[in-house]
Amino acid sequence: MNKSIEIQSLKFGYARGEDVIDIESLSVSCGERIFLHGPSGCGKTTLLGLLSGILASSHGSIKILGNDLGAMPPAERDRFRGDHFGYVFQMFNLLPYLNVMDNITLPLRFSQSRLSKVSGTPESEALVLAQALGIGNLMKRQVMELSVGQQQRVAAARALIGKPEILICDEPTSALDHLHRDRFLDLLIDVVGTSKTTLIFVSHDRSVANRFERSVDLAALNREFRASTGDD
Amino acid sequence: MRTIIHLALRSIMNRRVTSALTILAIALSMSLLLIVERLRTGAREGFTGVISQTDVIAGARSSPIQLLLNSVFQIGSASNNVTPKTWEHFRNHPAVAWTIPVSMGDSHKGFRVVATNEDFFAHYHYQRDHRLEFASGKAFTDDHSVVVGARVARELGYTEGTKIILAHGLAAESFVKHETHPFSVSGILKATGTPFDRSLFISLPAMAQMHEAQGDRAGNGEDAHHPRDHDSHDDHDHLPGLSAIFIGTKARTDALALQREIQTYEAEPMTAALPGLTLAQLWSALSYAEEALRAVSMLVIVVGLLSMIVALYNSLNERRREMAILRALGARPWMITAILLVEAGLLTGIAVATSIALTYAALTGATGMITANFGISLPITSLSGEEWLRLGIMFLTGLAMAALPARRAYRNALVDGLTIRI
Repeated sequence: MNKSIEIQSLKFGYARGEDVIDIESLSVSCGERIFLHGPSGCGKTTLLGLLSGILASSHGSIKILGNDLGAMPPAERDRFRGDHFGYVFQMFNLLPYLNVMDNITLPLRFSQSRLSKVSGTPESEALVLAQALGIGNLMKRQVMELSVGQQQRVAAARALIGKPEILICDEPTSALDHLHRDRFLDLLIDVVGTSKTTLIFVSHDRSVANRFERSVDLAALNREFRASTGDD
Repeated sequence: MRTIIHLALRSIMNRRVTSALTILAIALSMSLLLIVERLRTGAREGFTGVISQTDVIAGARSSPIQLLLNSVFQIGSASNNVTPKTWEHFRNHPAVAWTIPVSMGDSHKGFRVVATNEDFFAHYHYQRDHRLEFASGKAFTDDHSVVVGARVARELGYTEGTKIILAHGLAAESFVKHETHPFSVSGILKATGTPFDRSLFISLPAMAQMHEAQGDRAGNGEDAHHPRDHDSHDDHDHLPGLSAIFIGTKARTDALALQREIQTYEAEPMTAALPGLTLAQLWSALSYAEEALRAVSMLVIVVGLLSMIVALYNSLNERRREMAILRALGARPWMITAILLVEAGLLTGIAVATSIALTYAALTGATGMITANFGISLPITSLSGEEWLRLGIMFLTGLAMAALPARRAYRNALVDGLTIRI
């Protein structure tokens, strides 16, 4: 199976000589669903920044879909991210001045390659995704009128439009109660399974780990964090 | 680029109340500047157009500015008079096409009396080619009729046929009144925006008779600045001394030579003013007021633009998460800067359009009132090149000022990356 993400002896620090990430290796297959967890400060946000190409590593290599991020200039990394990643934040995922439909189709304005993967019109594609996520009836609504759970589903639809290879969800359920969290996870995993998207699901909520194919404990994986906490 | 404009537009629409207020603030300040500039131009044109087509103003020896102030603006009084003989000399001068004799010195309830002849109504022009027109009635036909200016008629409530008594001298409450020589209003002039709106016009013989009837006793003592040349009366069929003579030449190029000739006229000491030149000199002496007006309107614009910058800055914090979202979608940091700049550009652009509309609305609404009250005419013309330039500069200033929050947004975008900050 092809590798979606390949990390080799990756080091990163915001200041010289003060690394916060030190990962020997991490490999994720295409279509795999990974549950990435760890306590606060273990470097989750930093790792996501590195994976998505916002941050550039100082040592080692990150290969996404076979492309070495370290070899790309920032502009190319930005475009690469727009083409191949979907991203769902913990909250406030949506642009308040666009309605639901415009929010979902927004990635297609930034990525030609994602636009080209849409079979019909952007609007019809958005509707298909929205219906799969149970928000098909909300398309013309203003996002500020939606509940948090509905907003997260709109965010998921937006992250998935144009079939990006990798979906990163950064604590997407932490603002939801258990009922909505489970419903959101059901829909997400269902949609991702259908589209064979690689899923990196970050959370500190270990109770949902069983929904994923593999769990990765970043606290154990990140040697820098282990060193700083005295290696328990 | 389409995406950027699309997002900027939607963002403005989303905050439409704030945006509308910002646009209004900028537009108001811009149209204030436009209107102030128009008033300024109108005031200058009104001022320098107070007398036109008259090539030379001749009077007794003083200074050109004094002569102009006295004869046209009716400020101060002539130091001396010109004899009717001299008038006759220049009236028949080969270079002269026409003359308007004016004799002043009497008043009526604070308004000055101008003794002249029918040539005043035929040849006096203002604002290039405007002539005196009658709102009602006609020019004086005999020595007991008087024509009154628009302002005089309005303030004193005079109509055709009103009987009035003129007073000797210029004081508002003169003790010496020409009671033996009553006048009847024969005509009322339309408003011109010139000082002649505040004048009463009588014939030259009427002026002479009035003073004869009075024996001109008053002129000897208490009114030294009002001398009259009585020696000339005998020779010239009841004509008073003249305060000034407005002269139109046959060819404008003769004006300079005529001016020199008048200045060196041997029969009596005289001064000749070229009205256009002297008016320009006077106006430039008053230009500090113009500059103050302009400075105030500039300040108002700065305040208007600052309000836009404040609005943009205020939106920056709530927009940090918007930036993280856009970055996650592959937006480059400069695109986020560009969205802000396009927003500022749209706001100022709409403000420019609004200000033009506001300006014309104000001009349409207020022109009549301004012309009637201040004698400033504000023709509703299309925007001049200078006005477009001014609007363009304001637009660019708005953009330049928006660069500050935009730069801040760029730095936020770089630092925040995909971190959503609240």
